[in-house]
Amino acid sequence: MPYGLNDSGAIVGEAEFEVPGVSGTYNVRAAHWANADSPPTDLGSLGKITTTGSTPEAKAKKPDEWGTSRAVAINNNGMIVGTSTHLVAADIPNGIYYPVTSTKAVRFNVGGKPTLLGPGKKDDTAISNYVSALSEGGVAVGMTSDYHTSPDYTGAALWDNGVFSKALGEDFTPTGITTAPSDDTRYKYYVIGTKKPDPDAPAPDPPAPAESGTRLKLKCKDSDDFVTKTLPIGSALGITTDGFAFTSAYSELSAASAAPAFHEWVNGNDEDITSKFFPHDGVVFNGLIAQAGNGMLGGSIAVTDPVTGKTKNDAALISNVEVRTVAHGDT
Amino acid sequence: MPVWRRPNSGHRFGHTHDLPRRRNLAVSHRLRGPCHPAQPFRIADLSTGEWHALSPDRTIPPTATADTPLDFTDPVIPATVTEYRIYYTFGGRFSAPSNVVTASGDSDRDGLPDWWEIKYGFNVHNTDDAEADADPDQDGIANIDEFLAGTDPRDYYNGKLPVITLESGNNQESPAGAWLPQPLTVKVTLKGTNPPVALVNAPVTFAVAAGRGKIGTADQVEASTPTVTLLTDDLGHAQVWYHQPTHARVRSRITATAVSATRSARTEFHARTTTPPPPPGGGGDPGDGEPGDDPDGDWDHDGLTNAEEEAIGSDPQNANSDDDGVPDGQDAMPADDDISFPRAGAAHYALIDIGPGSINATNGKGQAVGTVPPADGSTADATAFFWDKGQRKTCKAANPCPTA
Repeated sequence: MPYGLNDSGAIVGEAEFEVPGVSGTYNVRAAHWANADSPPTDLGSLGKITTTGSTPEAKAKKPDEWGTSRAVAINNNGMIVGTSTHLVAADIPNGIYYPVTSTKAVRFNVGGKPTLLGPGKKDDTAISNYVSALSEGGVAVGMTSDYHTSPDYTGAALWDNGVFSKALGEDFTPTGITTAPSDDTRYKYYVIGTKKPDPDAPAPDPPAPAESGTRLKLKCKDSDDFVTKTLPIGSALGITTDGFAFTSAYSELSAASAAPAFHEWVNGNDEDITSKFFPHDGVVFNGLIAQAGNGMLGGSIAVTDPVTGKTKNDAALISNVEVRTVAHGDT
Repeated sequence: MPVWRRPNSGHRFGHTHDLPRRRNLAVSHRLRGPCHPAQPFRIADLSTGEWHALSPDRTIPPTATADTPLDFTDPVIPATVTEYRIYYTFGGRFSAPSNVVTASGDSDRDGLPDWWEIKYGFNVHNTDDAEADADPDQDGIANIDEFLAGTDPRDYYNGKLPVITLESGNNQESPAGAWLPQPLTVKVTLKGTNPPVALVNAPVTFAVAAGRGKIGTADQVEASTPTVTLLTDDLGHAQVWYHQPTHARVRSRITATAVSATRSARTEFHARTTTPPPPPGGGGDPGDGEPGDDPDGDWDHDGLTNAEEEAIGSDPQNANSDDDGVPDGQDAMPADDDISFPRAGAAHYALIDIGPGSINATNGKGQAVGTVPPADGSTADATAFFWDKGQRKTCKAANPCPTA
């Protein structure tokens, strides 16, 4: 299953690999394809690869297991990030197998072992992290949960040059990151994500959707601060390397009007671009789950042609996105 | 008032007045000769030949004599009837007809006579003044003033003499099946003025006189009709696009006409279809070269560069790659012959359907990776694919596992 692709055509994702020493047993681990014609390379996991024990009972007695993993992104420098989950402990009370696992954000190294990104030690089951996106500058974003703190903390995670921080905030779920264009003198990179609703806020009338909109967080070059810009429509889909932020109104719409709308945030303005995709009445656009690429968006669509009545459920790309830059001034 | 006489009928109307449509109908006539009482009148619509009864039905009074004036009030005559004759029946035979009767009332009291409203297609029962104040031909003269002046409320020109001239777009060439690169633009001015005075809102009709191409409106969307009438803008300009016919070396002629009720002025554009030029060094055979050698070229003149066509999977040497009738440059899905809704004018997006599955990631080279779920919809056995320049290939799976 591929999840990331760079300009060299290298692909990362996950694939099923045979567990070393356990013939006929497979599990899913992070994979790297040098190109589409290459076989996948096993990127490993944080779990220990055992050479014995092929039965559940044997695994339970040897909790330091091989683990599973997934690579989610690769940039043009070949940096690969993802998530690894491995077994830390297990118990068999009353004959029922209970695994205890640890999930951590990692940097994968082709031909080497994965590197823990932190926070938390490898087997610390009270801290969980995962990565969702990676910039060309090597900055990764994702989520973290920390049950050592009181109260518990669950929020956005940021790894800037390997340094973890919670600077993106607890109420934010990042979905994309891009390095700022070279002519941007104020900001280092842009992070797009969805703002979580405030659990203490009064219930809106009429009832609002579960998610309260998309945010862009712009990292200042001259400080550790982030400037937050509000994209008023929907959930974040992603951001391209030239600064296009794409959102979907899907999650904000009621069940009665569930057709998604697409907005772009460019030059400081939110613009409904749904009509640019589908300029004609009668075209039914059932959905697009887009991932931001470098100038192209991809996902899946279901469209019905108003003339022929034919409906297609296919993979689709949105291309020919003009290169324009996000405004650099206003906050 | 002339009297229509029908030889040998013995029954004829003396004379009639113009009839108001609804009120104060005064049919003043004399019956000549024997008259059979209690016979209904009928009217004959001269434009359609249909017969209509008056409503409520009207009959000749039993006491009528040849010289009895008949005075009917408030009959309803079908609204579509503008000129008619009145008959009555006698012994199963029709009488001689009256002379031509014209409706001259003003049912809605808006100052516009019913006959005038009907003649020009207005509503005789519209009781507000909007219709009197309207200016459907946008010549700056309201209907009520058009009526009083005796001019045509649907003729912009009303005797003004237009001059129509070519502004730009004449003698263009483009490949068969493609749009001409520039729009066709004319200017309409008032004859006899110096400097020429531009006519604003003047109707101009564009028509394909030869060539079988299609006229397109401002955003290059083909019109559904062979002729298109537009109004001039503030500068007196009217503009259309021309979509070339599908055969090479066809000469087209597109006329632009400013038509008034009494006079028309016309000019015409000429265009020609070409064939795609050979690739550089190709020796005249388009198949000898590679479009990739000329990424900025547009060999098939469909509006997309060769590089763009390669990126989205359409044919750089075919203006209509998926053969669906929509040139690639206007086709939101240029490589898909099932769905081809046009790209929005001036939009910078194209939706490219690349087949079953879902895309998981893209890169700056226009490549993508995705997955295709099996028929049962499960994700465990999904197949990974890689898409590049219109070609899909299945990613290699881990050996020996057959799935991604």
